[in-house]
Amino acid sequence: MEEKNKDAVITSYPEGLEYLAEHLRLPLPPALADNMEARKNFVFNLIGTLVRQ
Amino acid sequence: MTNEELRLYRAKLFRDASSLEQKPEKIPHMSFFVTWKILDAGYKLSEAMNDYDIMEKVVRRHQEEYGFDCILEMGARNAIRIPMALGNCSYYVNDEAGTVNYVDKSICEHGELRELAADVKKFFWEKGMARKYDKWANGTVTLEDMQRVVDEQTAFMQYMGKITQIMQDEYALPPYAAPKGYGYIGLDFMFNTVRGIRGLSIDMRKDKGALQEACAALNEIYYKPGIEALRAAPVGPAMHAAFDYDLTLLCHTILNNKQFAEYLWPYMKETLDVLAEKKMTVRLFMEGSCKRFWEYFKDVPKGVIVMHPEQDDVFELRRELPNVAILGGMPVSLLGTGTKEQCVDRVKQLFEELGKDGGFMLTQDKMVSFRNDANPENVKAVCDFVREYNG
Repeated sequence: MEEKNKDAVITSYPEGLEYLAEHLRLPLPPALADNMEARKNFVFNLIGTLVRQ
Repeated sequence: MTNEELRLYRAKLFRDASSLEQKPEKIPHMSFFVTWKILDAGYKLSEAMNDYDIMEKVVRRHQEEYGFDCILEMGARNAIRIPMALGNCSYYVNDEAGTVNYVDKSICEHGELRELAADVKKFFWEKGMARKYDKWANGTVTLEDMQRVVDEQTAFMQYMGKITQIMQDEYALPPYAAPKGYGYIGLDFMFNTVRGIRGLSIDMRKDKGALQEACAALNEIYYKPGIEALRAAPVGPAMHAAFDYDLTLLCHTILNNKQFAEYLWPYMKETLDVLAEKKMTVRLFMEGSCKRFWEYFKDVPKGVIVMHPEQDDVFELRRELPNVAILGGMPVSLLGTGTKEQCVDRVKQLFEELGKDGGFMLTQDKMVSFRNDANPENVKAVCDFVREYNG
């Protein structure tokens, strides 16, 4: 139930971006794996891809 | 010749033809076959589009059967597994008919243009995604769903890396393009995704100010960083690839000359200027007809533009824009319904009239998508003729 409640934030911006950037396993190089800016850029670029599909 | 030597030789054919200064040793032939090659290989569209191992077999077979000098599309055109990880997508695959259709649905209403302009990221995140994906709209998307999307995108990128390497190493094919940055022009983004054809046509008439603000906001995120990356790249073409940059445009099809001058040309000109400065070559594919805009390209230096006309006549293009190399000329209509002799005669004419002094590369005039777009026997006849031609 708690996990589901946390997921509810996904569709809001910027909360959803921060949540996904923090919790997703992302294919970033080791040097950037803990870089929150890089993680957020990756996630937003993914959303851009999804919007364009 | 080793595979590496052959690959570089093929890249050089495209480079020499593009330069308009050096006649290539032979006229290169590029494949613009997209979903057709799946059907030609005997698979259903949904099979290959959902299984990268099958798509790899399709691309391998395509080169083994026909022997091109470059393949533009190697399975990336319809990456449906990524959006399907969220439960639905905008593509409709009809295996019985052998077709893929795209639902032209705008993600932004006319009255929301200024909201989009104020914060593109927020708009895409909250409204754009909700209009594309049911789970986003009804708030049931989970972290697990999004992890699946990430994993599918990773799998797709791995497939693209793998197939590119296979085609280079095993089949000696140069990559189609090697861009060092890419600027996605805001108006084309509006046309393709944000407002769609009908929506953008309305915006052009009803509220130019709001449209301009929206385009400016999109350009800030999707165009400027790409152009800056290109501007920062070292001078010189990527000689291992057929071209340096790809510019495929659709929005011009609904623009009059005044709208083209205002919304699209400034960005095209900036891109072309940077490419000229960097001595790079762009394959320019303006879908439909772009003849009414040809005058804009008259002063672009030789060696920058390789124009790939869809509806416009290649012979007229050569007369009007002698500074522009030409990629194309093979009508899909002829490949589909003509005889082998008609297809080969067409290639002979192209080679003799456009290729005799360089500046010409052969490919199909449209993305070859549907089964009846091309008769495999005609494709084979053309490929055999090209390979043996020694003019």
